[in-house]
Amino acid sequence: MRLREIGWRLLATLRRRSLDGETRAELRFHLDMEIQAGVARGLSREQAEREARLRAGTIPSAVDAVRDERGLGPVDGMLTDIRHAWSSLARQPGFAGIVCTALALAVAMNTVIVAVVDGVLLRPLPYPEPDHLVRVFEWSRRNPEWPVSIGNFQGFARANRSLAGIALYTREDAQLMHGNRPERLVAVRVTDGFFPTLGVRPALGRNFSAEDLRRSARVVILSDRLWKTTFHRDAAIVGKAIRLERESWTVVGVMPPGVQHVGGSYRSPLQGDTVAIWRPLALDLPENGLRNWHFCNVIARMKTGVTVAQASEDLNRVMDDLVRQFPQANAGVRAEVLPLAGVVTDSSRATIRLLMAAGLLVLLIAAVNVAGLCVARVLSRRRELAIRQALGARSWRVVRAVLAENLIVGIVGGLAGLGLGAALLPLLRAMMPVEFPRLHEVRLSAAAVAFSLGSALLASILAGLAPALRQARQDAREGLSEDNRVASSSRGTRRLRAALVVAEVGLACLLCIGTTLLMRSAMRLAARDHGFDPRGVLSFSVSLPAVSYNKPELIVPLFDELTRRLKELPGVRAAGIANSLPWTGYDENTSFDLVGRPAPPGDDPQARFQSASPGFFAAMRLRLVAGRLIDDRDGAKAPPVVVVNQALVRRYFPTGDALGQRVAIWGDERVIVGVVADIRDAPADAAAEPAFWWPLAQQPFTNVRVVLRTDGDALALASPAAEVLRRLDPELPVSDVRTLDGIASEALAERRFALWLFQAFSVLALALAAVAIYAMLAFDVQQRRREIGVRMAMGATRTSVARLVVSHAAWLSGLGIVLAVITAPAAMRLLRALLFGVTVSDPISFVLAPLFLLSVTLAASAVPAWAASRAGVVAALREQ
Amino acid sequence: MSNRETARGRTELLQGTLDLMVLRTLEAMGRQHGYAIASRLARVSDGAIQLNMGTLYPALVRLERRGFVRARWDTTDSNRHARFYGITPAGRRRLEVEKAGWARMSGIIDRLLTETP
Repeated sequence: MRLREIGWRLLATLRRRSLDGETRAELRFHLDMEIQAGVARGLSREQAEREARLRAGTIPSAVDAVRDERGLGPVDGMLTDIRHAWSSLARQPGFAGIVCTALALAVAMNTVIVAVVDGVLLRPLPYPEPDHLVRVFEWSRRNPEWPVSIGNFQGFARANRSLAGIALYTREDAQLMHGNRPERLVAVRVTDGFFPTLGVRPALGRNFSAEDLRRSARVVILSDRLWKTTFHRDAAIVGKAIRLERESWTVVGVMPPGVQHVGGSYRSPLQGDTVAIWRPLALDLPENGLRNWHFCNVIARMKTGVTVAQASEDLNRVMDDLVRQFPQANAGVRAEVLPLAGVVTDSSRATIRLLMAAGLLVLLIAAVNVAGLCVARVLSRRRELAIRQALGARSWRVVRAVLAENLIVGIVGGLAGLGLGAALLPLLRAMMPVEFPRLHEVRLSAAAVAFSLGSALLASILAGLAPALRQARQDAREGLSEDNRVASSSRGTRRLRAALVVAEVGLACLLCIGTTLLMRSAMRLAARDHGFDPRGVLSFSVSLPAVSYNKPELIVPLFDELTRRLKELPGVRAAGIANSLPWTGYDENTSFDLVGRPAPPGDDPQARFQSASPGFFAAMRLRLVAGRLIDDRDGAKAPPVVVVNQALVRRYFPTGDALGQRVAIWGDERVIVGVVADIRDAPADAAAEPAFWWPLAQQPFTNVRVVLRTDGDALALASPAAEVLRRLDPELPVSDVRTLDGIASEALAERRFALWLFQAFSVLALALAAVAIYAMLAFDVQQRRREIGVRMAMGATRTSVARLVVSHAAWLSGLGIVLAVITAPAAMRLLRALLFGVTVSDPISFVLAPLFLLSVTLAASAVPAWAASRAGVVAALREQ
Repeated sequence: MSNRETARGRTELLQGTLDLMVLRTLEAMGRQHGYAIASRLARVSDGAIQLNMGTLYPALVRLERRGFVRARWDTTDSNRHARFYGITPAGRRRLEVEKAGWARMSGIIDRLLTETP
């Protein structure tokens, strides 16, 4: 189309009203002339008019056709259609309301889910060329995805050919004393290559250098956040000293805002802007430490053009050399290279995928719902549409007229859904587990907005297409001659609507089965023996600075005194100290030897090491299985002992004779004096790792957690406990104060989150299915009033008529449920990662959910059934 | 069913040639209103071409939009108000192009139908 024509069309659009008038006058003239010609041929006035209309057509449809050529053509006509559709929808607010609400709810759910998917999975990590970033692990059959030893890291750094940068990092929190306020900071130790590998530079000062990677180095880099808050944007901070861990450290740099940590599941803060301060990671360790200590994470950047597979091959080539040089430390070890983005989101990918599937299912249900209602709507508009067709409207105009309504429904539903989704998003973020990867990235992004509006439009238009095309194909006379008030829905249309209802019930049933499975998992999990009792326990962290507490003789008395004083607090039942708490991701392991017996073939004995004071077991109510717990006998000078868990006994003392046996750990031979119940790493883990407990007095740690058991409100103890500590040492802060219940609940947060969403989805799906059944039956009953009247005239009772309607509902939902039950075992495989204690084909879920669904749909059929039974014989027949 | 289908068939027959016919009529008869164009075409074709208003007037608008005809309100001999269409110079040029195209096409069809192998 040429520019001139577009201008012409625009002008015509602006003058539409007057041009329409002119066209009408022109057509009137044409018709008049035809009639005159007829009269001149000797016809009567009426005959001439009829003939003229036959020959020349009618004015309204010709005006429509002219309008398409003039103005903005089809768009212009569409606007007219939309105006018509709007007013006709407004006349039937019930229909419009139900459809828009269904769509809006489904779209809102999907908006928030797409916001999550986009923020967590799709948006690239905030580093330059994030695809080139990889995490490197050591891999062995015993310890897959293991931290890399410093020695092996140095080997990789020296001999690799595929990397542009490689660095170590490990979390080691630090205590800052600024003014007279102690503050616990999330701190990470990094090698000099860390920031260059990520692709970030300090905003002030410099990066760490290779010379800084010594134990004696006292230099730090501050995060932008810490610099802005605690140090009030001091522009001259570089070169100044700050008091960290009771020592003087020199600030060498400040990072720019928005530097995000790379995250990791071991000794690392979460991915995101989570780090307050960076310190150099010392590489001058003893040879044993360099080769055998695995406490460092590796981040690396591949050279441009290098694939992960190539990098893996390259590092394993280096690894082969390292295995040859240090066969003891590296026995059976391979290098494992994984893309950073995958590692960051790994744990939650299954959950997100599941939610995505559930969200799409709900959207599908809503679309089917809209489609079902549209079919009914078109049926009731049949006469009007047939008249339009008879008046010469072309097929696509009929389609357009029907679609105009759906367009409105789509836009209104989409906008409402978007608004609702935007309102729900903060709520969802609050519900999401704090440990959820990249939670900070979840927001109403452009992608989410586009998706919600697009899906609403697409769903509503697709839903309208089938009935619209069907109507357009139909012969106009059929629609006119067939009596609309009687059984006007043809067999095909009824079948289509029944199929839609069946589909909807089936999809809703799938969701309900999933929800039941998740609910049963949650119940099984709650009933599980977790080995300890989290109710009424307060816990907090205490870290003793190494400068002041560098000898056991300094540490142990402090802990003893702290426990003694805490126990005296009113309401405290038991107080204890340990270096780890259950379900917090603690994952520190060591090798040990069985004294006097060979190790099981092919197994290098290894266990999680933990250290606890006597009161700890009572405070946790950690169950004793055999022997005794650690008690006051086990002081620093007493014979070395150890308490082990059942998993360790199962693995290394398969005959069960662990008590009294000796094990060698870190150079000491220790007698096993007790066996305690297993505590798994996470509540739903299948099995616990082998673990043992040292007496804290015999193996003191400086980073510990204090636990207090109380009868009353655990949190109320927080400030008295902090006061006790402050009196002992005013420079020791209490940090990370949490109840054990809170920790337990956080460990279950992701499951709970998925369950909540599934419940919400299921309720929505159920409601939509119920609406669909209700609408279909109500419409049917209304259309079949005459048939029902005849039946009743022939002697059918009210009950039998009602039964007719209800059994129709039962058939539809029964069929949907059967289809769902057949497909469910395959569909539920998505759920497997979140199930606990139930199988994907759990019989109880497969009975309960369908029964529930059936009862809901039957309840939905009650009103139409009642209406049918009330339909009077006379009234129904008289309508003829 | 039947009358709708024939109506559609008729439209299709005209689709390519309607512009040509209208332009030719206006060239031959000078300024005309829509009804006159329709009845002239009916007469010339011995009633084979019965133009529905919904076909004729959109075509006239299309031609006007492309600048091939110009429309103006005027009075008829019987003193009624009507819209008269006249062919423009651009319309004449277009008509020549269409005529040539039509002649070529009908020549081809002619040869195709009469030629014996």
